[in-house]
Amino acid sequence: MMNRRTVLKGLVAGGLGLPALSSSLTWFVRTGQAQSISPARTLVVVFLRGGCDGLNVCVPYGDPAYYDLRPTIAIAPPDPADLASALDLDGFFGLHPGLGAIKRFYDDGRLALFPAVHYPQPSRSHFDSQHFIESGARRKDLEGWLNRHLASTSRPERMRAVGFGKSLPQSLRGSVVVSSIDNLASFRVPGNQSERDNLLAALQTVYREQPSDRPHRAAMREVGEQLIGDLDAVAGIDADRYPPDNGAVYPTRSFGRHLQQTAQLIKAGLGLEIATVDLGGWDTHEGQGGGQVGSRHRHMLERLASGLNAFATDLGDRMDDVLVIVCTEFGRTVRENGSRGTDHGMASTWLALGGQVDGGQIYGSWPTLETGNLVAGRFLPYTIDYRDIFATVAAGFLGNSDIDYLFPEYAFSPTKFLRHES
Amino acid sequence: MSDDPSPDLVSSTAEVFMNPGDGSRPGEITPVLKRIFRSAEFWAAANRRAKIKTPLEFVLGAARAFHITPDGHELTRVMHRLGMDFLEFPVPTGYPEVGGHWINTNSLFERVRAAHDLAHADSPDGLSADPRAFALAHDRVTAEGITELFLAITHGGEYTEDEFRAALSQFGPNRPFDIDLLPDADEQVRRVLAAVLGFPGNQYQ
Repeated sequence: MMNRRTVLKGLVAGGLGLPALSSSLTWFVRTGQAQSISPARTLVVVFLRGGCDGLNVCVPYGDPAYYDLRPTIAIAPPDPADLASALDLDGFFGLHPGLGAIKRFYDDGRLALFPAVHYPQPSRSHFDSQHFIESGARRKDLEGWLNRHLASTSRPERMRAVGFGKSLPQSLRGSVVVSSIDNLASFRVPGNQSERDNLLAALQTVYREQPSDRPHRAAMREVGEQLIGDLDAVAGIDADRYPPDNGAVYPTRSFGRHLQQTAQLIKAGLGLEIATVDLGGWDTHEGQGGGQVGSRHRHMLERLASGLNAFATDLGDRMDDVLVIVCTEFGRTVRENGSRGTDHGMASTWLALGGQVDGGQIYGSWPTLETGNLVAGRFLPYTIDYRDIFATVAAGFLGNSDIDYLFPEYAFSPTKFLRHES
Repeated sequence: MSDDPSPDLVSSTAEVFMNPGDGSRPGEITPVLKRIFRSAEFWAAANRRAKIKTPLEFVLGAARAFHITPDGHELTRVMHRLGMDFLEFPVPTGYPEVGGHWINTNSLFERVRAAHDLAHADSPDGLSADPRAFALAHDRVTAEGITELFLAITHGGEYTEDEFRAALSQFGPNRPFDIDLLPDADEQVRRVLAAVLGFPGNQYQ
């Protein structure tokens, strides 16, 4: 296993992705790394930043303590006459009505919910908890788990991974250089075609010759060469004129744009294996609101659901080879606070959507919300360690069996939510 | 001076902060800066241009060096795209001062775009740059002379032959450059400045 990693690091340092070299390197990777090639699949990790209140995503309306603890923000039990009530899932849990646009995926068996996901000795700092989850370990010194996946496998693709946003998320940081792109439509150097080619050639020259013996130069060289390779890879894609398929309509603003451009990259056949997309704004300390139309949390959930719905509609049958994991750094306090909001908590709801998801089910046991069952009388305990979800994805979807490397010091017990697993 | 200063310098500077010993009161910044500026590390060759410019330093550095007339709205728009909102302070610790945060493809790409926008700014009542006039003011009229001037300013005087040729190539091939006679001389000089500002060598402090 170390050999594969070492070879790949050598490839990256040698300039994988440079247009001038890509054909010969592709040949090398194909002949030298054939054992790890798997069918083209794409994992999309949607991170809800700010700590999404999972109790109002997968609503435990059958748990009486839920209503005792949340006098103004609880979601009412399912009632077809009440548009603010939960959408029934299994007679105990219901979906927040703001997620109505993705209910059909639960009904047709492609959406699974995990209502109590977290990890031991959790942090209630946004930054730390995001960092731990994205690192695959409760540590500050590790690369991102998705980057370790890229480093420990290889595929002869032009663009294996992309982080949508202004900067690269921790999950994709590490030894393999990955691009962050905020908008594919403007991801091209300025000028007309000949000016563009002229500037790209100049940039390629000056990035390539950054010396290694001074601070930041090696990183500048590797990132610069990746940038030029990715600009070349997406040069033929017109993100300004993209007609989504099947009448899909993406929500406006960055979340919808990032999902749409993920779909566009998938369809472009560049071999996109991993994309990360962020949606912020979940830190609902005050005025969170319940199920009513126009309330703050509902508005956020509607944006999430309309984006996921558009993405799955646009991709159609391609969703058989696409897996979306929706995660967040922590849930929120079970009891609502004096400002009709919730504070930083522990376990929260995660979601999995895709053709290979054994959906229409809720995974993990339910701790129940009686005070005695809560951590410190305040926080929802987890019943699924997030690493079991990620590791299931790595082994069952990405075809990476090196779980010990991806999730160090962790004893993996699969969460069997993918159809192909035994 | 560096993203990774020596622990000795950090602790001795912290000591000066607590006990200046030069008549200053504890907590004053002047003796702290003196301690840093007088240290051997500050002047060491290894610590020259060892940090990455933040977007603020990138934008204002270009504006000051090339006499680009600022326009508040335009500058804040450019900085927003570069990932650093002007006068904002993201909780909890503000914008990173360390290079690792700013070296990613999106950030480098946006600097190439921002370099183009800065060099081509020509709004009469807003952000504007006139690199041709700037070159003339420095008595630079040839392609080589202008390239040399722009690189010397942006690359701290330490550019390579390849960097020089890469910048020079932005003038376009196959004809002698004449800053007075060529109808697109203004555009050519802007192109060279845009390229040089977007080069990695201009990202080091």
